[in-house]
Amino acid sequence: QQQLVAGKVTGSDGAPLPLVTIQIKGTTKGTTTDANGNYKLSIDGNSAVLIFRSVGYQNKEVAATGGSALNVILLADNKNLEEVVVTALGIKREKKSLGYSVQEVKGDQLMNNKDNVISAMSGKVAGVQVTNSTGMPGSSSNIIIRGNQSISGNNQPLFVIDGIPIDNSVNSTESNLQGVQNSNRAIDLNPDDIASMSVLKGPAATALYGIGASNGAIIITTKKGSNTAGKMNVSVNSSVTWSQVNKLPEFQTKYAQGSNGMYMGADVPATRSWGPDVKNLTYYNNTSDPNDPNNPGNYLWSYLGNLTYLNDVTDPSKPGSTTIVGHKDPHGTGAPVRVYDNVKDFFVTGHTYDNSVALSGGNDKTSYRLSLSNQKNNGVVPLSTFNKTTVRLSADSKMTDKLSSSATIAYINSGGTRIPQGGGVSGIGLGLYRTPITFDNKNGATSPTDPRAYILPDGQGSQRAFSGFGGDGVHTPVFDNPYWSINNEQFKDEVNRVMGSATISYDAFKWLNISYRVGGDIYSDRRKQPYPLYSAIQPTGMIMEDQYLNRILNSDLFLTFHKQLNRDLDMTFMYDNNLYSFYKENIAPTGNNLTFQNFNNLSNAVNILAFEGVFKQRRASNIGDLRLAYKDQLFLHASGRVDKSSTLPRDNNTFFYPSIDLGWVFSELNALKNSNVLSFGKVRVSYAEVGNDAPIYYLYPNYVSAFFADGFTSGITFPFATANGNIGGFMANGTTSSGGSRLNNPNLKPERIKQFEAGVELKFLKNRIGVDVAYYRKKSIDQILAVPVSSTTGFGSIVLNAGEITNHGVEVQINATPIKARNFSWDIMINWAANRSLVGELYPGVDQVGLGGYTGAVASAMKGQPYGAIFGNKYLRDAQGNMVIEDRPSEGAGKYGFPIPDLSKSVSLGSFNPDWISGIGNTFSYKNFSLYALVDIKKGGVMWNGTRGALVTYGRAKETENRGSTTVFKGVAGHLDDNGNTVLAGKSNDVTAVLGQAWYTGNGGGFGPVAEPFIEDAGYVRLREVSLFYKFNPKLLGATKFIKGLEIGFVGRNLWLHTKYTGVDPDGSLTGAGNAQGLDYFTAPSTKNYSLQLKLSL
Amino acid sequence: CSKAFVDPDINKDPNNPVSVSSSALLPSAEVAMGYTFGSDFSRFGSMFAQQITGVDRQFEAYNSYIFSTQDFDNCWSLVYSSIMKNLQLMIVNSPKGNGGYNPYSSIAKILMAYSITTVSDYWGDVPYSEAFNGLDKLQPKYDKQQDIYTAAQKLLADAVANLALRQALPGTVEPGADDIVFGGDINKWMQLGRVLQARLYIHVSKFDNTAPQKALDAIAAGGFSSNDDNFQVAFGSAATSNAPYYQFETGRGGYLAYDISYWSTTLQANNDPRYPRLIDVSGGGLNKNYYFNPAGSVPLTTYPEQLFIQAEAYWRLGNLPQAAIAYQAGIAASMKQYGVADADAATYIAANGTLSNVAATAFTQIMTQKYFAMYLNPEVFTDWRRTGVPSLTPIAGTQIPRRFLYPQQELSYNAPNVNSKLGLYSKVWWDQ
Repeated sequence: QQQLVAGKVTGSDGAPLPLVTIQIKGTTKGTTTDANGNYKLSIDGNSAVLIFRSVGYQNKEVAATGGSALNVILLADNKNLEEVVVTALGIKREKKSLGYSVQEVKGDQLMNNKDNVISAMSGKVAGVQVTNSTGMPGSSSNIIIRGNQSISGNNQPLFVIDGIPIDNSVNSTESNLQGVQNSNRAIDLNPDDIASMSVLKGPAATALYGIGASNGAIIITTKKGSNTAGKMNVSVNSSVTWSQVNKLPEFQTKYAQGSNGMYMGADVPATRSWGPDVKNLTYYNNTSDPNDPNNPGNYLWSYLGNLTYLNDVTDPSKPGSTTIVGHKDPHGTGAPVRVYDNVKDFFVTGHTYDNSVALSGGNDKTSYRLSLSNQKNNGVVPLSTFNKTTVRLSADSKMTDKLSSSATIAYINSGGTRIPQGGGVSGIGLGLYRTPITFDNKNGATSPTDPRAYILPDGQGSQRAFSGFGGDGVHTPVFDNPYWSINNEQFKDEVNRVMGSATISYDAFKWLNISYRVGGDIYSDRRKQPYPLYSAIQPTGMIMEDQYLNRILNSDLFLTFHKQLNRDLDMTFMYDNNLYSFYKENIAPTGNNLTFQNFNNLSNAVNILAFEGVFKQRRASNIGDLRLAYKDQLFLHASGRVDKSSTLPRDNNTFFYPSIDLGWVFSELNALKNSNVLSFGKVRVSYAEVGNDAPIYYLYPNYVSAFFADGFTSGITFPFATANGNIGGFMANGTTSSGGSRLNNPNLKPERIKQFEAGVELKFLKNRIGVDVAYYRKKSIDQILAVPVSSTTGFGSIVLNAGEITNHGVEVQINATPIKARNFSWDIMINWAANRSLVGELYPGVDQVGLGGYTGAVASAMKGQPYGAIFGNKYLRDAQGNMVIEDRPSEGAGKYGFPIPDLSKSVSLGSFNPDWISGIGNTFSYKNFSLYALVDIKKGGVMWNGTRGALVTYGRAKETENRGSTTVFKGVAGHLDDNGNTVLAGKSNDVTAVLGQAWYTGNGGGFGPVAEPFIEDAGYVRLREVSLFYKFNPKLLGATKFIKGLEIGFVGRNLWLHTKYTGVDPDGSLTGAGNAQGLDYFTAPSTKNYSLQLKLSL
Repeated sequence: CSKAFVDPDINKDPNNPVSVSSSALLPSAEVAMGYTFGSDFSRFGSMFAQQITGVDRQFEAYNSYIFSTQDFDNCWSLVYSSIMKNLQLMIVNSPKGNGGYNPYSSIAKILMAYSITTVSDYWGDVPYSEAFNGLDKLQPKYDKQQDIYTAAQKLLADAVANLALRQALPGTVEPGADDIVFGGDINKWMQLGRVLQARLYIHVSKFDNTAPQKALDAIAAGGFSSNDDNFQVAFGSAATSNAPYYQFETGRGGYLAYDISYWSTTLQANNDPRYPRLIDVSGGGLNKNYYFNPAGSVPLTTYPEQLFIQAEAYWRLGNLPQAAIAYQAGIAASMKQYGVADADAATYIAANGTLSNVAATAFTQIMTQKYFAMYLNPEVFTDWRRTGVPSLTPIAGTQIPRRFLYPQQELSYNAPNVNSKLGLYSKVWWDQ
């Protein structure tokens, strides 16, 4: 006789739990709860024991009596929380049902680094490589999942928040080799709003997003309110962080400004440090230390770069002047010349204040969450800041049993004051590191804003710097004094951004749900970069305005059919119609020839050039997605998608691509089901394709307003100012200094990426140990690529379907709990991933495509090499690989007895991609204490240390302290004849070479033709994060019960670093987020951070 | 729904036009020539010819003849894609007027002849006949320098002949303010065409004994008559329109020294009145009056050059008296070009303006004065290579470079056609 049992299953918070599996113990019979947590079940006889199972909750066995109601509360099982993951389109799925790899990062795992959600992911997810750029506040971070698969297009994953794709691009106002570090726009997210981030690594996971997610996707779910029976929860997070520079290049501290051992100051102007040993110098005829603070301020550096009395500026030869002279000079009776550590003195301790408060609550119908956060970040470069304020409101409502809705909206205001860095003559990079030890950039000032440091008292506002004067003879140095940069060249940006989504969901029938979601991400970004008069980059002054309006709108209509086909087979079919629209406009006026100093308004510019760009793109897609589950152990998933894109040719703009994956939970087999060793086992396999459309406006050949530059000067931009007024001029496609004019192609077809993935997931000993291993292989073909061609075609590049890249790799994820005792537990998380990329055929006759960089060291895609080869010259080798050493004395100093550049070909000097990356996290909990440490390891991968190359030429690098010493280069004697043939002398080199200026400023330095000596191993082992938290016992928090929870802790980031790299932190990048990684050229340093945190809930 | 939503027309670029008139291409091509031939061509060529000295960063290495193939990418790209591609479009696309008169096309031919022969003078064999064809020819073949000279002479002859149609049949759209070189003065373009013919003849006069007379004939048909006719590109005072040496000195101050080269020390020793006009005697840099003027001009083909071509041609024909006249006129015109006071010029000419009766000495005098006169002109390196005057000592090693290296982009993207073995010291066709 059958009797009915019915009831409701809820969590401990009262929220109904859908999809709870209910099984009658001892049988295979059972049911699941509906969306409201209700269930009905027939039992045989009067009583039975029901087993309630739900992922993320502890199993519960309850005795049921027929004909009665049985409401059950399931307790959360923290060990299994990760088991439900958010997949594409925001669909929550049991992890065990997936035929592909997904890894989730919980919101609280991001809270140790609130600066940038991307950098907060460093080391936490297998196969995800994060590269940060600089320690400047607001700097971008690069994120690559399973290697680069687009040659020159976007390689960053898609960011999706609550179902809506958002913009994570980096808009650059200047070339990414110089100017400020801009933000990647995911920086605007408040980590405290994030409930979880799912990392969808391969196309099987991302097939539902199609284009845009071909590099993987980061699916972010924001925190929502929950049923608190109407009570409001308040949570407060506050932290204060101190940051310091963690690593700098090494400098010599022995030799003064000058050349060939002679002291020369800025009056010559000698910019380099090939002068005499500073011990042999004194100030001219001056017996007191001119920078003695007790000495009245009579001394300053004249515009000629020498120390003089104020009243002697015009005549440094007059007795009383404090020109630097040799101590053997008759006038060399003054005080010894002081040595300045300009680099160390420059950086300061940064401070960041993070505060966020969230209010949340709800009842059984509606819930809400309102959060407010603010970050105020003052960087290690004086006066650099980044501030971010976000407000987010989320609301969920269940209007009827069948109709529910939810909405979330966020407003963000972010931006700050950025200081130019990198390879520009303006900005802090060149001016700071190249300053000789005999010059005090600060001029005795103690405050970084003291104008004495960077402005000469000549009444004209001329700049004071070690590099003397530039071409205008007086006012402008070759490189800016870094104090000039931080005070006068402050780049200001401000983003105002709104993003949000709204969903309405209707259960039309038991088997059909219809829902519609619409949302968007809209922001304006206004920037201004002033370069006042006498700035090195533009002595006549320049103001760059740069304004963006970015808009993404997205609409999805879902129909979801769900049917239990029979007792063993469950089917879900989903149809999605997706519409996507992208719009961007960029208005960028640049004002030149400023009328007077420090009035940074375009009205102060005599000549104004403007750029106007409008970019539009639309896509429409239809998607079908089928899931079959057999006996809760075999899961098949297949999808197909048809995209139509506006960026492809009219006749070829619609394309289809499929995906299929299969997961088998073999531990459900009867033979294994009750194993004491194996708690869970699954194998999975998947295959997927993703199509990709073209970048905007790649189809039609056109003309551009003329612009050209030669790599040394900023060049000419039309309209051209003649004596008779301005005149316009155009050219066939754009032409840039690197031959970048691009011929578009009206015959493009979509790109394709094909990926195969297989994996196994095992858990042992009651889930105490878990291992997840994935292997993948993917290939992208028909890439839409601006193929570089010989300029003799009339173009620098031609858009073609060309190029292929394969990536294959292994990812391992291990979780273990070695100790779990009453008061103590120890959890380990280890991830490890190795990716091998290979650039295949590019285009006939084209073996290398540059991604970015400087002449002589170009990050490249090279045929037959891993992606990211640094392309440059080596020294000449013989057939056996021995270096050939110049054997002709006539070649002279710095050449005879030294290695010879091989200019006949540029080759790969190594790839910036690592051999493998790994993160090892340990969490120790003892009573109320919790200690967490994350070690982040990157093995291999090279970086071009262009900073060292330049500092070698400048005589500033530590290694140039060996000047005057001798060496015999290991290699064979020989030379190159006039026809480029190697002539070997038939013996080893035995010439004693004298290291020094001739070699370091020639073939042995960074301005010579050979990049080989400046390629360095950029691998590292670092303590990425360490934290110690103490959670107050609620009983101790007072009788008021006002405070529900209180946690305080210490967080350290980047406290320890081990690397062979000799420059700044090898986690840095000159160009920020983008494809041209592995380049360091006066990149601003990274930081280590210490913070105190407070988490309070009321 | 998706058809209307995804309208392919939204992919038409609203930011850049799909077609432009020749009057929009001419000014950019002209300015690009002044900029390009006043940049690396001038800096590297004049450094090899020891008119200037590289003393810092890359240029210190260059000064010792340390170059990589990448160092030549920029000047190659500029001349092929920023200059000649646009000239080719003008040659092909400009609408013909009455009787076939086609001023834009003809001007473009003259500028093309200048550009392709200068490229060839600096590299030797280079792509031309198959160049500028985009997707249709991704790897253009290299033409023999000799064939390029033949083609350039034809371009010049055709252009001059076509421009001559103007007098008979007016009524075509003609350049005006868009021609920033000659303001649409067709006669001046014809003069330039003839002087360039003479220049190309004199380049080969060492082994073609008909060339000197052909050079003289071309000029006789109507060459320049004063410095007012000079082919030079005037730049603007706006920072984005500044003259190339001004840009270089303000952006890259200290890379080059101007007061220690062979040219500088010789002019100083001679008390040459041009020296203080060109060089800032107190600071050692370029003088604000000329190359260091933001709105200054880059002279490419000048009246003094024409006079020195005539002097050389007469000398090669054995006509020393006529050579002497042209020689002295050349010095005088050079003084005028640089704004030297008449009295100073007269003093200098009195001391240096007399051509020797000894043929060998006379030749050295002519070529040395041409070397003095054509400061920073890319033609200086060509003249030095084909004549060996003045006699220069290598700054490093035993040889002075005699050409540019083929750029890395050719080695990378046009490998089947480029001769990668040729080094800095290989000689071009007319230099053998």
